[in-house]
Amino acid sequence: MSGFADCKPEAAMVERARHGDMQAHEALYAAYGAPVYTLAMRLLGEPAQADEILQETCVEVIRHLGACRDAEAFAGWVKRIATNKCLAQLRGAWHRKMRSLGDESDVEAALAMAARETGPGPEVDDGERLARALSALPPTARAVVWLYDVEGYSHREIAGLMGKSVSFSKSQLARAHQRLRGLLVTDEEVHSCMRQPSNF
Amino acid sequence: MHATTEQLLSLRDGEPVPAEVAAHLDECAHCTRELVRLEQARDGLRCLPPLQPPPSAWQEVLLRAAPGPAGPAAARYRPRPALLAALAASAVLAVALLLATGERETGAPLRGTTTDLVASTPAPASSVEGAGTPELVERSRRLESALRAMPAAPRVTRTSTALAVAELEDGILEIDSTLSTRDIGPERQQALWRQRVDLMDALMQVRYAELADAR
Repeated sequence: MSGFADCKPEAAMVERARHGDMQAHEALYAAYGAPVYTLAMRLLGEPAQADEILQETCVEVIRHLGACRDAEAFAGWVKRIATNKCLAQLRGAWHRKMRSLGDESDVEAALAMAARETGPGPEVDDGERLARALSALPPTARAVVWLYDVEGYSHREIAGLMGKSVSFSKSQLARAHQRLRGLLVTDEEVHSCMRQPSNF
Repeated sequence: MHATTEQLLSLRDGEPVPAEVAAHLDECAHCTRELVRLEQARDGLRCLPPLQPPPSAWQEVLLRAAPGPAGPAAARYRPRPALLAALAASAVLAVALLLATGERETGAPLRGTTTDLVASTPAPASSVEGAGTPELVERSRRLESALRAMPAAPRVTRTSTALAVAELEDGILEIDSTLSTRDIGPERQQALWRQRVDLMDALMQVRYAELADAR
């Protein structure tokens, strides 16, 4: 489940932060820092970029908390800021090359390469394999599946955030799941083949 | 005929699907397995553990958000004269580019428009002359942020402008690709970062002029 679901700061804490209390801001950061970083890592896949998104989001929260009048809406407000920044980053020049590679290259090969780097074995659990498969998806499909399946955005909201249509969001979600299936099946087959005793 | 992934996702998420699709699921073991797999994939994604940011992240935030001259990081969020001058100079060149390649009847920006304003701003000397690699990297990062902060391109743009943008972006990506290789010496690295800053400057020029031209 999205880490933002557990981000429910007390109204008094939000109010203190709104008045410039930096200790209150730090307490808020303790609640939303990891969810923002996780969101950015899942969407962008690069620790340096995720760190940058986190810091930009924090600065925006500190400077514009007055725009968030309702403490109940705080987590959603922060999530929206971070999501917009991640999607802007995906649209930027840094990611164009990765996007084109992701769309045109063999993503199965990317996962196989990732598997070779750490080596197959029982230490690689299902969650780790799923995380690797997610990171091997093309950026747009990866963003849509994470925003929809985990962060709870609707197709209409995703369409609005990306400046695309609802059907685009739906087709990207389907594409993401088709790719995930291919990646995980391939991975399972690779593992089962490698665990089989040799007949020679 | 089996249900499509989109239809199965609609079923998974409780969205309406054609009656025949729902009926098909009652009889088809393959599609039922697929539906379960989609549910498991969603549940698996939701169960991935949260990732922790670097321990120093909050300290960096404090430096950035500081209202006064708290350090180099804090300066990132204040407009800097050098940067503004560079942007203005960039705009001058961009306007020149647009006027040189465009089909404007008069060949000059309309008086009182933003284009006219930036075209009348004198260009400063290059701000990256003699800069070391760290300064170039920092400047490149600032330009990247400034570009990201610019409004989206207008719906209708000149073909020549679109081509210029694509060429500049391709050039930047080519440099990024070279920079990502490990076997380049410090001098070559510095030269590449300098080229990158120049290209990003030019890209900023074109994008700025594109926006000004659209008004």
